[in-house]
Amino acid sequence: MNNRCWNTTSLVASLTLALLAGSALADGKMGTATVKGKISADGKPTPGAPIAMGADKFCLAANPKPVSPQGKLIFADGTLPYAFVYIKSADGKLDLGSKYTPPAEALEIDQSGCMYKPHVAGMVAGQTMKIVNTDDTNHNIHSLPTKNKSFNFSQPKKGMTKDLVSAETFNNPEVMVHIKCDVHPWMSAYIGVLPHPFFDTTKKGGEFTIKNLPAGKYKLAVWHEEWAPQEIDIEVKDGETVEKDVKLAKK
Amino acid sequence: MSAGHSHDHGHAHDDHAHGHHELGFIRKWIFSTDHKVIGMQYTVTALVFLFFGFTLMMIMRWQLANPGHVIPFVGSMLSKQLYAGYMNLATEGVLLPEGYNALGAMHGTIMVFLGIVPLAVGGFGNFVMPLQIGAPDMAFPKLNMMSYWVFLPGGLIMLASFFMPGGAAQSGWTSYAPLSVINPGQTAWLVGMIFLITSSLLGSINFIVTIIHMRAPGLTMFRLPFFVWAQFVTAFLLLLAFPPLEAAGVMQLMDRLAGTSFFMPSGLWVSGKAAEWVGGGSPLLWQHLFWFLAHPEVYVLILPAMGIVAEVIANNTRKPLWGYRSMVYAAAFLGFMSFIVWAHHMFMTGMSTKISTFFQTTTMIISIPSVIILTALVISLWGGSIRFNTPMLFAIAFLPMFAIGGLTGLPLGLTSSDIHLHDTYYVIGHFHYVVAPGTIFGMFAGIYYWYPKATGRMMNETLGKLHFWPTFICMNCIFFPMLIQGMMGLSRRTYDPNIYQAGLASLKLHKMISWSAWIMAIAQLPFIFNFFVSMFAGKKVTENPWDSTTLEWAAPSPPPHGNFLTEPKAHRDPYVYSPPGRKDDFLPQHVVLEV
Amino acid sequence: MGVQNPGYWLPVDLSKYGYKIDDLINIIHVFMLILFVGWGIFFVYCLVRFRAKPGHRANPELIHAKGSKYAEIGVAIFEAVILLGFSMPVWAAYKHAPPDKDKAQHVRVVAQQFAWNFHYPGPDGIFGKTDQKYIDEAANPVGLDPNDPHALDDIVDVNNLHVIRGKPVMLRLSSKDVIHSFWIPVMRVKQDVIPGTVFPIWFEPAENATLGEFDITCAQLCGNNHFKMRGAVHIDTPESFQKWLDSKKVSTQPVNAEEEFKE
Repeated sequence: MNNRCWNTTSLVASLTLALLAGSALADGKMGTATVKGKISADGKPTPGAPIAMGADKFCLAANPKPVSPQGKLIFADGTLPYAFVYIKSADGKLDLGSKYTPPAEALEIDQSGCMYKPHVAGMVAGQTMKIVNTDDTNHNIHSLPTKNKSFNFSQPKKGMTKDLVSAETFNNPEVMVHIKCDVHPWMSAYIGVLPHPFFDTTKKGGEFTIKNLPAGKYKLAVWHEEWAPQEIDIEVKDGETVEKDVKLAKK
Repeated sequence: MSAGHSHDHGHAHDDHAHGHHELGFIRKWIFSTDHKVIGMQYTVTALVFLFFGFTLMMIMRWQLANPGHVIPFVGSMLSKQLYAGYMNLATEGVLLPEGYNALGAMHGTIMVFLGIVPLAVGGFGNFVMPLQIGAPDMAFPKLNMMSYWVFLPGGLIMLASFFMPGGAAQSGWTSYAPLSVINPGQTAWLVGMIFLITSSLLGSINFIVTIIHMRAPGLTMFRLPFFVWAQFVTAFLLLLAFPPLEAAGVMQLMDRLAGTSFFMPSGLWVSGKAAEWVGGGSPLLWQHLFWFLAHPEVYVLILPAMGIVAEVIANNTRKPLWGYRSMVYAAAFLGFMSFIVWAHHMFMTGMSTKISTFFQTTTMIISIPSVIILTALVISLWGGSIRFNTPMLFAIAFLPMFAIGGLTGLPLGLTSSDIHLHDTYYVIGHFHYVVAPGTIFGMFAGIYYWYPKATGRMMNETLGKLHFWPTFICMNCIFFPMLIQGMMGLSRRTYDPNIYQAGLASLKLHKMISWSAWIMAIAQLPFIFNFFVSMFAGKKVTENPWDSTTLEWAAPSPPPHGNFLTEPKAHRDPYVYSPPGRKDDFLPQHVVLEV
Repeated sequence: MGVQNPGYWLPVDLSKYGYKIDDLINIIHVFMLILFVGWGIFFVYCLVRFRAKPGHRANPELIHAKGSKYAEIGVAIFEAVILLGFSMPVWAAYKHAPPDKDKAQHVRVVAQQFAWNFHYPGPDGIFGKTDQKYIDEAANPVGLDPNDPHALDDIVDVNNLHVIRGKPVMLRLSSKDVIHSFWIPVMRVKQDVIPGTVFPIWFEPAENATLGEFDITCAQLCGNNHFKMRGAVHIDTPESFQKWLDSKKVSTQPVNAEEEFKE
């Protein structure tokens, strides 16, 4: 919807945000607790056809073997990659009551082999982004947020890089922002935009680790493209590590 | 014209002459109600826009000749991000596909709506037409001023759209929904269009009233110069064809801003999600409304040029136009027919046989009046004593160029051959032959021809020929290869032609076209220099430097406020050249013969 | 890549009926050439013969140019012939004489920004039901209903259309989002795809059509990457078509993530 509008307000908003970013926000509250665990699936994913890489000659050459959509992937032991695990306040809010400055380094999204790397990632609201095309084909990255401004641009040449300043990325918490490539419709990425840095994405073995959490009561929330989201109550104490494994049900 | 009428004219004239001395700079040159000043404002503004629109195309030509290469000179400028969220046309010096689309859409829009229409109608129509009918001014001078001051903001909004969030329009000059409703940048375009259309409507009313009501005594309709007839038909086209587009433009704007769905069908799935906010509209409705304007618009572009060419040819062959009346009837018929051919732009939309039969038949019929006008102009050369000055060179070059443009319209107007040629470079070649070496040559002819009337000084002939010849050659090197590319199957609006078989095979032609375009840009320098320097350094002229016959040459050069020193009367047909038994080879309309 | 067409004229025609369109285009261009050259000779002759010469004066007499009248009538007659004799019958055949439904190959084409999705009915010959709510751009771009038994054997491919030479192809075109235009230059077939409507079209690869891959182009500006909406039509023999079909049958793919995450 956003891009339909003649968005002068967005310009004003971005200028204001740029000013705010300049006025050095106090860093949010950090702690010493850790939450870790494994995310696994309760069942088998519905099988799907492999990605039609043949749609673009370059993509076919880059992927000689059939490639499954990342959302369908599962490890032999039932654990899931690409689950986004994050912290909510005890009453289920994204905001933990303390303001966190986004990290200085940009969230990099690479268009490589006609897939997005990473496929699932988290960022602190207002963090900068860096969009890279390492493919020798034209990509068009298109974000489809509901609570944020959208961006939509092409990178027709290999090696093109675009740095998105804070005002151009996602400034409002939103789980998840879908990003897709308009040329290669199968290419999609999901970005969890949070007002704090307590999140992780599962990798091998479905493992995640969230560090430096201040002591307190929270909800541990899990999102996955193919599986139903879940939230569970946790309580952490300074210096302690809490282990929580989560099984996701079918959507 | 009744005697009482001419009496009124006399009064109007006196008032004008009286008020003239009290005008300050602003009222005289900026918020002027004088048709000549407004005409010149339109002319200069339109020329600037034309050059700007041409510049956009030169950038696109780089991408087409050298796909993916860094654009020289302007690449880094276009890659500069002016503010957060700004839509860049290029990244790292390389033109982006969306940048290419924006340049393409704006090239079309600027050339048609900000360049040629204002130049042909607002510029030449305003300046020349009242003079040619012997009127002191337009019927509604203030409306005339308003027309310009509605046009200018429309144009500025269009230009400013490059710097707005979302950038300039990227949905083609045709703005087809649903794309134009979901694409960024279109809002400014629509707002700009609404201004431009309003301006044209104000102008057209004024033209019609002026031509009907303010002709000099003795100037009957069939004593009008052909140029006035062309403007008269054009004004009707603008008046009748633009309102549907104005309505359509407002509807599309509401689709974008107010959440309506005039042009949005149900069940859309846009960018990976269901577009639940739309439904029930029709994308085809927009196309019908758009082309209901845009086909008459083609004749809005070409008729004034035909008018200018007729004037210049009559003057420089030193003989009357051949078939003046049939030309007038043909122009009127052309105007009428132009309202019932629009759907030939839409043959590929799944049209049924009945409707396509109607439209391809009317399309074939409309070629006949064009053939009549063209034939009349060529036969007018027979028996003449042709002077090859710069205006005449442009005017006669118009004829074969328009002929190619017209002929290439035939295979596009037949549904079956259109299956292959629709939306290819053939279409681009076709309508550019009509509009670029066609209309624009007519415009150049007009500028060189009436420049002495507007400024009191001649433009330089040598520079004029230095302008004409390279422009003529380059035009053909640009547009003829496009016909071939289209035949080969190259789709238009293709950012990188190399990924298609036809594009790869015709890349050499793309390179040739691009080089010709850049050389043609250089060939415009003598014109620009000539245009500005001649204002001060050109040879001074009296009122009739071309030994012409029509009434505008009875006024001083430049004409004062109120135009004529004594009210002119028309005593004869417009093109009495080389009359037997006279020393001079011309007999102006206003001259009274001693019996 | 199929055969490159090096000629600066129409691309190679691989369809059974495309020659009718080519004939029309050729005839009309010959006519245009004759008209232009004839007219041009007269034009240049006038310019040279009637150039201003000292002491010469124009003749104000208007000639009785009967030739022009004949030329105009000639143009009108030619246009009538081409209209009634060529354009209308070809168009009528294209619109109203589709091939035998039972002998044709049927494919649904779903256009979207910026790809062509080709949906084949599979061995059962029946298209599975589709619904927007099942669309998954990666795994199920046309939104096949997983609960419909007819959908299970359906094949969806992106940007690649496989046809058999000598066998008519009937397409049903639709669009998810904006207006596209489906064009196969070598088949002389073109149709705008307007969202909200289904357009049935057909073409027939000639029996001796060159095998290989040819462009499918989107002929209507459809957004940022309109130019990238290139598809390919693969002209197959029945054998190579079957081979391709077999290669598509591995529908249940390994979903093991080990491959992706091995270091």
